[in-house]
Amino acid sequence: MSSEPSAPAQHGTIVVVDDDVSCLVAVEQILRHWGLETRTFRAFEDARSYLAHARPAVVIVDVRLGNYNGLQLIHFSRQHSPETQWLVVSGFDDPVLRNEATRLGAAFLTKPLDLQRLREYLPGGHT
Amino acid sequence: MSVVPNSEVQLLGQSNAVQTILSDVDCAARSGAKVLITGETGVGKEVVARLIHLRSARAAGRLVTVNCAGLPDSLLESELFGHVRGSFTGAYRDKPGLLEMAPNGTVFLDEVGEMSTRMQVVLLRFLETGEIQRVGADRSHIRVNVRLITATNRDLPKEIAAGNFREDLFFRLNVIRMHIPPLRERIEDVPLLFDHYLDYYCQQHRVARPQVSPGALDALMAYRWPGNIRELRNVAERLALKSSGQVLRPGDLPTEVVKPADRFEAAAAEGAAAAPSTSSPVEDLTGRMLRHGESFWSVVHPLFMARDLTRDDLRRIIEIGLENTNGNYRLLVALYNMPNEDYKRFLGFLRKHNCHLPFQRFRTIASRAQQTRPVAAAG
Repeated sequence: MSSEPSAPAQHGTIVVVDDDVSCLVAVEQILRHWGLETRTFRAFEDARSYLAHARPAVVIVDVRLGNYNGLQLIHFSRQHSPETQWLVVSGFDDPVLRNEATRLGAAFLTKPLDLQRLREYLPGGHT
Repeated sequence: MSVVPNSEVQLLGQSNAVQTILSDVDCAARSGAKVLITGETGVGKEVVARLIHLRSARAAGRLVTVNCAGLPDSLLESELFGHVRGSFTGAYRDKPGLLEMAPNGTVFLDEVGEMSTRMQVVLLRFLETGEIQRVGADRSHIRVNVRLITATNRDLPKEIAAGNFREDLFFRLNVIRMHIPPLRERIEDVPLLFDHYLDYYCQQHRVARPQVSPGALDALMAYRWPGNIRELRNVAERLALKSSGQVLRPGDLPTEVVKPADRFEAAAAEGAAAAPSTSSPVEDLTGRMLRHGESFWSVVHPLFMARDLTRDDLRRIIEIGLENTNGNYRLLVALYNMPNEDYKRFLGFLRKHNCHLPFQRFRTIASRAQQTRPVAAAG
């Protein structure tokens, strides 16, 4: 679980934010297996301070992050890193949150994650 | 619904906490997403909501504030969604709800944690469809475009665990969360805030601006401010009126600020001659009614309606009164210096705000309570 201070990320980094450690580890292992550089965060605040400066290629974020909603992280990053692709992941399919995510330009995926769909959103996913 | 001139809407402070809030306000203003503001009572949640509205693309629209506490379910629904003629006794004509009255604006729902589970379902449905169904109407009326900002001083995840708040509603409202820390966690802002409010109230009341001694400033910064900025503002106003331009020293400050631990003893020692401002709000106000013959309607009612008193404060005031009258509400009306014919109005007011305490328990504990509570028994 890396969460060093906020050094700018390499272009191509995949960030995963989830307060459920088992999900976090599972996704991290899959992404590493696919050869992708991955950074993981469990806490909203840690992810927030990292994303305030970093410009990752993709952020995969769970809706539930303790007291916070993962969608909020998009706001801290969008201005300086508009090219970052956001995948919002939720254990339940809520039409209101799905709309909110779409409005913010993020994709909305429900758990359990469909790995093939996930792959499509990642660098090199279409090849 | 309170209206504050836009020029007065500002969040003062140089602390990191305030700077973070201000940058979050800009972020929230740009986004248009729903915002949940959390924090203790008196920290300035409504100010933050106003700032978000004023800095957002909806600034030209209206900001409508609704306090969800203290309104019975049916009234809250009718306030928010409106009603059709004949839907309940007294509904003589169709009435639009507040959600309709802020097209392309913002609706601020304060104390959203107090909403009943039934109202939570109604709100959940509105969030999903954006459609308004007036009370008594058999189909939805129109779709509205409003932004919702909500606030609460409750710990909603805890309320969810206790079954009092719907988790799905929480996630829909909590897209952007802003937590406003209590004043004691940004105590470095106290001098600036106190100066600001002292200036403001001295100008408003046209009195000479007193200087604040270093000792008084130390005392202000050592105090924990349980009522947060609202309490600090009230203290500044009282001092502005009291000081008549002399230097403010620690002895001029309200007792709870200087010596929180001995405030009951200090208040008792100073007795009836004590200035009203030298004890906590509840004791201060009951003292004014019990000792100085002031009326409940002029002392407590306006402060409660302005939300300078919490419901717990009001309940405590009623409790102190009932301890003195052996649980008798008619005597309480007289004790708090209201005319007898106000009995119904007084009870109606208490019921409306859920502060009507059952009288029975005061019948049995009255004598003990009077012995153990010198403030309540002071006559």
